[in-house]
Amino acid sequence: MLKAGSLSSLLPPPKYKFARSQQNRDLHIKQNDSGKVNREISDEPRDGMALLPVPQVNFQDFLPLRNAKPDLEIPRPTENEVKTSYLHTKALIDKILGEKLQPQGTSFKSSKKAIESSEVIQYALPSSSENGEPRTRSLKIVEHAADPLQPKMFKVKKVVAPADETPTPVLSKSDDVSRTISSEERSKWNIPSAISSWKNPNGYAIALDKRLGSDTRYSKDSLEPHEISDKFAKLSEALDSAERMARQEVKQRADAKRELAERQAKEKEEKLRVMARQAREERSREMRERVSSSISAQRLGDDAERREAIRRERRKQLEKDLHRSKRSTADRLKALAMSQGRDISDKVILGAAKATESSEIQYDSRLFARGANANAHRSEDQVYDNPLFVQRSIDSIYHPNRSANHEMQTEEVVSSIQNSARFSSLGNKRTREGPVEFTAKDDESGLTEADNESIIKGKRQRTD
Amino acid sequence: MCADRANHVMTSEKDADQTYIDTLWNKQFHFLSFLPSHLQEEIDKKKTVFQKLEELQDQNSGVTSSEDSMLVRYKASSSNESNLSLTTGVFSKEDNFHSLMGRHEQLLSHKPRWHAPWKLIRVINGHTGWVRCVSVDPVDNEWFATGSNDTTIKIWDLASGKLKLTLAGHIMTVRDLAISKIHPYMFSASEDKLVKCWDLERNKSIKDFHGHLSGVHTVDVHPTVNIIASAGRDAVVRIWDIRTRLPVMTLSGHKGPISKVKCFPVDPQIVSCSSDNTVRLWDITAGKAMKVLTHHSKTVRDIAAHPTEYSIATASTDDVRSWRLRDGHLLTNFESEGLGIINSLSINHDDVLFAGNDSGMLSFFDYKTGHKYQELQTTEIPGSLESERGVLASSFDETGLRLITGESDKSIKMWKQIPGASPETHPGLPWNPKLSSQRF
Repeated sequence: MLKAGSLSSLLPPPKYKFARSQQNRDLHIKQNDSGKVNREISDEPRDGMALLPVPQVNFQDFLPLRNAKPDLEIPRPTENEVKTSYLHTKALIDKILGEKLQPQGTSFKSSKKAIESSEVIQYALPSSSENGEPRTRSLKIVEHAADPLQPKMFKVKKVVAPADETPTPVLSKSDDVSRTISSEERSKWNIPSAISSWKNPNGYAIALDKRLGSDTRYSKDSLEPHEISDKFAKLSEALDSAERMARQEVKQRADAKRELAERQAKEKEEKLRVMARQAREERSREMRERVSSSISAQRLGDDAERREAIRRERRKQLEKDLHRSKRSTADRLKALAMSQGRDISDKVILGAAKATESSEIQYDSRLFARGANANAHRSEDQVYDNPLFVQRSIDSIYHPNRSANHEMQTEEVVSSIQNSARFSSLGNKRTREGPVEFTAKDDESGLTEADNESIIKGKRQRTD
Repeated sequence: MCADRANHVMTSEKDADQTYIDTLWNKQFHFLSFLPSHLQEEIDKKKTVFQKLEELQDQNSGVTSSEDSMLVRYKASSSNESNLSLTTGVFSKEDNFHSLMGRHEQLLSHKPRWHAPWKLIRVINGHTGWVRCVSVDPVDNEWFATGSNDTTIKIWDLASGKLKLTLAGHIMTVRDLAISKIHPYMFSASEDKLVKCWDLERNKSIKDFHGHLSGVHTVDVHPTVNIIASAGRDAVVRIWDIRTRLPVMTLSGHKGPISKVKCFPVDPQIVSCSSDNTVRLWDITAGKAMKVLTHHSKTVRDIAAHPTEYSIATASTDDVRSWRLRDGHLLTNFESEGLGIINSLSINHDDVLFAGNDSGMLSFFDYKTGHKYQELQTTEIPGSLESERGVLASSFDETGLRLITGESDKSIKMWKQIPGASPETHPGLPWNPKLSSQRF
């Protein structure tokens, strides 16, 4: 068998911090007679450095015991052993506990105790008088009663004891098992101290600049103020100008559109005016012709001419009829109504006019009221459950309201645009405010025949 | 003639051993045969002028061989006897001489015990977070408690799987539970830096143990003395007196978060494992580690104590080992290669060691030989993600017939051995041990 000590020299040097100080040690190489080189580490300290004992590695440490002795019995400790161990440990624990429960420095002497512990010293003074009588004086020494609540005078500092245990040889083959990590990998695992629960366990908020300062990932030059490239300014400028351009274009387009619309409206107006003038002229010409023909017929009294006139009349009538037959039913109906002096809208003629429809079905509210037994107090003669005019609406009915004035103004504008001279005989027409007021029979309106006709004609004009 | 043959056999056996030793040497200590340059410099500095002159003369004469630069000379012929005695000492008694083949045969002859394979019997849902710890009532074996990421502790009926009680009080993940055998108390460790003591007769939290500087990962009750040990991210084991709630002792030495603490009646009374890859056996009278186990090369995540033997098993990534508790000697290297991150270990009376994997693999080993006899993937809960496959905690019940696992898909699963299984019907994974079962 090899001895334990000799085997340790065969093994690789143990890995522990202590190994560093090995360089300070003397290394004696002894060459014996056979030329065998032996490495030995001297136990003498150099430079006054205390040496720790060299750990001994035994080859037996590596060998599993059960491999050699498969039937090895390892009994549990006997009761006796357990008991002695228990007593020993308990004594130790109790001792430590006793110290802990009455720690040093907290014990104090009570004032009573202090008085008890006082001692009296008597001593003789050298006699000053001639009679030589020695004077004695007694001195009582009393310990000052300490305040039990006074904190300790001196702060107890804990001195961390140096690790006095012998270094242990590492028996694992740790060098090839553990992979060395690169600094890049290490930096990936780095947790900045600001968010590390080890360095900042309470999770205090740390200012950004301090974070950056403490973070090793950011170098100084990366923290310097950045130069903002002028391309940003250019970009924003370009964006601004593009927006302005777009707005301008939109505005121009809108202006053009409005101008076009105005022009169209003006044209339409012009056309209408022309048409009205033509109609007026035609009418006046017709009148003149009719008057002249009647005058001529009366004047001449000539049969031939009368016949001629009748023939012309008929031809005209025929032409009119032909013209009329070419028109649609709606137009014919309109014309018929016109001949009868009635003004009927297109919708009525076409039968398209319908009674106004409300989206919701209207019920008599009394149905509900009755259901709710609301008419309990209603008397026999009360027909309606609500007054026709509520006070509020009556007030508003008889006041000239601004919207009505406004409408009137617009209507005036319209009439001025059209031929206003036609309505001069009607006088200024007042819009109705409030319910229709009927006047007595004797106060008749002074409408003349001509006026009536002009009204009718005006209406005809509008329908045409 | 006969003697000659025997002699021949002997020499052939010796040759085989020689080959074995040579290969082992080349595999493990070959790099020692050359002196590193920095050491060579150091040696050169110390050489006297006279020695240098001698070397120069040697080089000129051309006698030197490559072996002169070796740090330790290995001469097969000269050190043969001692090496042979070493190997025989490792694998068998010194007086029994075995050849390579013989040793392998001997190893094969240590047949592991047959254990029935395990299957899922019940899935319990109820937690709304990862189930981080499972602990079975040690007195009556009637209920078990689970602690979860949803900050609650739930108590379940072991037989029916019905929820009996929900204990709320922690404000962060409950990481560990310890139920005392000698008090009506349960202790819970949580990431909110608290250890709480729950009275199991009133179902209330009665005590808080303040003092940990960071989240507490683990707690355990001492089996005889009225103390508990807790440890967590602040890398110290704290021992508390249950009655006065005072921190009695602080055991510092670990250099990383501690993942598990176990208490035992005799020394080492406290064993802890940490993410600094070590397991420490603490001597609480001296207040320091009496032994540090540094065999693991990754975070040691769990310790499991054998219920009848005075030994423990520890697990780190791809590595499960068992240790004799009294002196911390390595007992077995389990067949744990390729297991991945092991979150949880449990051992039952029947020498079954269970290892729960972070990717949802359940592995069952024979405790004595380290033979892995069953490996199965956990049953996934419908609707759970691929990443929620991990086994986070496990515990056998007191009889060792049920295994309860807490998983990261928020469920608790119960497993039992297939009834009526026999070595013929369920032979399990084959047993082919490696001759060099030691690992570095």
